Amino acid sequence: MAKKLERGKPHPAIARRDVIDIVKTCEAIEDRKFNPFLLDVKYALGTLRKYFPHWRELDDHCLDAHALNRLSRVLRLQGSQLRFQSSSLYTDPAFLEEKLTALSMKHLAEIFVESWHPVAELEQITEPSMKEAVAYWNVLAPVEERWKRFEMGRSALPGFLKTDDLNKIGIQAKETFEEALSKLWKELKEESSIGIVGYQDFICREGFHETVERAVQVSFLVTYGYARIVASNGAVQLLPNEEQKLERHPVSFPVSITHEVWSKWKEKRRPNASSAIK
Amino acid sequence: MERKAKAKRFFGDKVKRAAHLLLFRRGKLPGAKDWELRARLGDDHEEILRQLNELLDNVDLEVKRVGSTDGAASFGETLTPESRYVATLKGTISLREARMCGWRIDSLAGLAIAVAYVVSKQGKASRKEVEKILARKLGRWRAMAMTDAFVRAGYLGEDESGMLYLDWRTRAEVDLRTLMSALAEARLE
Repeated sequence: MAKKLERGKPHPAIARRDVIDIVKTCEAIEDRKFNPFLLDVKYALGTLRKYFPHWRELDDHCLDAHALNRLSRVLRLQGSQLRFQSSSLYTDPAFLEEKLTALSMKHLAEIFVESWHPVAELEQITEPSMKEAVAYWNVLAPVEERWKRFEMGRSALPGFLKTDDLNKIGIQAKETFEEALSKLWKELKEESSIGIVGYQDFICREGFHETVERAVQVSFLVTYGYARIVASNGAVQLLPNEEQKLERHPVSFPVSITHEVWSKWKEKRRPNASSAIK
Repeated sequence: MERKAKAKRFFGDKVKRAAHLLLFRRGKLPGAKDWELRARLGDDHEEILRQLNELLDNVDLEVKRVGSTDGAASFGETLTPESRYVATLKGTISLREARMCGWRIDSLAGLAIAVAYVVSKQGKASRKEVEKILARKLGRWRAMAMTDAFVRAGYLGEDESGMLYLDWRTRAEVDLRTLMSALAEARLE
């Protein structure tokens, strides 16, 4: 008999995980991520009831109470949803979204003003506001003096911008961001086929702007699962993935690149580059 | 007999004072709080407001009581001394008049979208979702700026977890039932 009970006793870790799952689901429902009726409250209560006799530690009892409290809030939400659905305000959100997207701005504005009764109010001048206004106008310089600041001399005559100019000022890109990423991925794969690719060496280029741009692109490659960053013997290495492979538990790895950091990298890189040429 | 005489009493001066309190803005928000009216007009303040309401009716205005919520509440509002009385338009204005009051058509459409969406989500929706649906019509940046403007004006409120709810101005100004039924009945072009 004792053996039978022992067999029926759930593993504390599994029990805790189940209760935490219930709490998380309740929290998601409270944040309006799911419909309150998605949670089977009866089943959840059954789970809590099943594990309750086996709790021995205070933390477990607290977790149980917390879960029960969350369940009660979900029940309240279920009640308010039922009341809301039975009221005349209820409209299916998906249907409404479709309507709101399809209706023109003017039509929407017309519908709104039909149900709009704006507040009537008069803003008045008070002594403090008058004092503030007088102080402002007393301090304000005459128009001629203020315009002097903007005298920039004769402006250049209007002309035409060429494609290179647009590229330079960033209005038009030579290649799309995705193209740039795939190019960089290809480059990383080629370099890693020769040997280990250091993060700094791969990113660092002659210009600071170019270095930062490559760092941003590499961060996207890593985030999207096309490459991974590995720390080995105090150095940070960059390894390409053959296919996109997203991390199950991604970890943030902040890299700060200031002008000084870039200058140091560049200095370090120089002897390496010259030895590579030799 | 005495009660009858009291019921017929007309509070001339106090009605004027009540009109001043409701129509002239003194603080950040328009109107006057319940406790403030009680302090300035006396215990008969409700009767005085009823008489003011009758007078305002001639110029298409009415006195409305806006209950206070704790922010988290969706539609429920409780009447407390902190509840605010405001004078609102009784009828409606045309789109042209609204434009002359300084409202842009796309701002009104944006407000309609934001309010209707929050209502459809039982009075509480995440800011991201509201911005997403506004962005479909107005673009991302305008959607963000407009949401901020609605929050500043008191149409929407935002809690610490980034959830938007209907704030005091929507409760005072917008007839939600008319809005929702008009949207549901609107014909698609």
